[in-house]
Amino acid sequence: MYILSGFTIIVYFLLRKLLSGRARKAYLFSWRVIFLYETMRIGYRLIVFGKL
Amino acid sequence: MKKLFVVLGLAFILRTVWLGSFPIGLYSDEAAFGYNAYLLLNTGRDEYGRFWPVSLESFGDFKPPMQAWLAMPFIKIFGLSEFAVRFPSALLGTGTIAVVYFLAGILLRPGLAAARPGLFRSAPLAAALLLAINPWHVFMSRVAMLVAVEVFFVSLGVLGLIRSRESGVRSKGENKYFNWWLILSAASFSGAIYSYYGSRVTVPLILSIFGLVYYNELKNKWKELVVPILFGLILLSPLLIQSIKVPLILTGRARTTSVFFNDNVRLQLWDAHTKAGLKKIPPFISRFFDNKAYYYSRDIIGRYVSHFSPKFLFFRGDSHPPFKIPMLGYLHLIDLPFFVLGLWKLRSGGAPRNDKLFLILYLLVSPFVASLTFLTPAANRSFNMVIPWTLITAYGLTIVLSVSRSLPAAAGRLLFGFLAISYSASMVIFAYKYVKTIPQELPHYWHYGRRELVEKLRPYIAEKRQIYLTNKGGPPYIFLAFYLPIKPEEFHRTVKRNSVINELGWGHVDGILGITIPREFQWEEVPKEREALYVGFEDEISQSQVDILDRVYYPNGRPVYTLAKLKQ
Repeated sequence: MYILSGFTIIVYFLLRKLLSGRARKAYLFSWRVIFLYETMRIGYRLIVFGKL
Repeated sequence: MKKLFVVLGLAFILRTVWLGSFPIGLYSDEAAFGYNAYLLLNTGRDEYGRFWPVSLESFGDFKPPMQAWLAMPFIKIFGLSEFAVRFPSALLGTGTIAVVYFLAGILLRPGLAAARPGLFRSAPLAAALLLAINPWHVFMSRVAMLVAVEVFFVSLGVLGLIRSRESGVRSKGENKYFNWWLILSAASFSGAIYSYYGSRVTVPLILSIFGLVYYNELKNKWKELVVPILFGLILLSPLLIQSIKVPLILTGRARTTSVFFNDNVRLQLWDAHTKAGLKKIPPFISRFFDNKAYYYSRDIIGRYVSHFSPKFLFFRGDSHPPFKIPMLGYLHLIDLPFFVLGLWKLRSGGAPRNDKLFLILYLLVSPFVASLTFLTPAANRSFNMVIPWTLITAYGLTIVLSVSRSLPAAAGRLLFGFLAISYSASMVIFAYKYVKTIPQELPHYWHYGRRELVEKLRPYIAEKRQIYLTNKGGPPYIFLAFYLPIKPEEFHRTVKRNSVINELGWGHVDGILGITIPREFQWEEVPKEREALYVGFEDEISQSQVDILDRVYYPNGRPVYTLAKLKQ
């Protein structure tokens, strides 16, 4: 659950604020990919194995 | 400036007092740097007889040479001793504080001054003072373990990069190819690459983030980059040329310490695929969710994040030898609110946006190299963190101190007193752990007892007695070479190297000066000779068969070495 650690959350918001332009778009896009993949994976693990 | 010298004086004292005695003992790598420096000084050749090598082979490992190069003048002055070997780290550790002072002056002060004119002149001094009393920095500056030297060069390189931007405006006709700050930066980063393996990843990362963050400025000044890049390549060319012949010179023990060498992820993956197979999940779905890329990424990110955990930073530190401090982290807990405040303020006001971004990214890339290894969190490999950490904490501290000036005088004094007592108490706890607890609980981490053992062996070596010496507790040949010390010619003539490297990449020396050092000192298998001297580690020797001649003890009274001969 590394993406839910306090440090990651702080850094997420910090960089979101400090980045601009294409770098900011790429940064936000990569986070969306990570969240989407992790959500799908959690769903898969819960449905198939009943646990994470 | 006068105040800076006071801080530097304090830092120098904290880093050099009892330097030869604390940390207790001498770690094997320190002994290797010291003895190789001694050999280079006297013959220009290392322990393998190579002429001025760019990497020092030792224990089957290739070590970056900078620590040994820097130790040479001090070994010439002070002789081959723990103090002389560690002194370059202490000296450059103190130098790092001056570097941080100037870095803070550029990265923090303008933004702070813009936010509250006149109130923030103390930010550089706060940064210097915080680093001077930073336990992590004090700890690493008192050992010859590469990273104190590396962090000095990396921070000096960063200072050169940041400072080079300020000398960007040029008059017409001025030579555009020379920016001395960039040339200093190239030299410093090259020095860092000769200092520590981690820098071979960290330096390119820092250069990349600098290039990305300041791209708009740099693209108009590309001519200034040509000379520093060429200069850096010239400085690094001996290393690059040698590493073509022997790739290990460039990578060191990276293979055996990397997460990819560890079977843990492979086993997890195998387990996940087996369970999915039992559930009749189509392989393409199973492999989409359980694949190498995901598992290794998750493993690396988990290790990376662990370097920012309060448990590592404030309460437990590094659990791996020799960097452990029992029940203590590496930073003052009182730093935390100032760090959080500094981080928060970086988000909103103050310094120019690019400087803030660079500072954050400097912090974020620092532990990256450590997260690629399976011994995490690692205090030495992530040591670069200490610089951005200090700068951000100083930023927060300066804000608090400036706000306190608008409080009634009594409240301001109370706050100042509270801070002084908190930091002093934290330093006292660190000093107690360092001077009292480590020698009592973890003397073996620092290979304590080797100097005492060599002194006890000296008469037996002089009378050329057959000696069987245990290999436990650090490679004994290097301690014999260091503490006797063995003359270069005699060392090269008598050292017997074993060509077999074990699975973890460690080599072995079978003997030196006629002393036999079995790779595995099994008492039952060691040849039994009536006149021979046997030296066992802790309880290796069966006491029923021998007469004990002498012992070396840990400070806590437990025996380290037993010197014995067979019962007559």
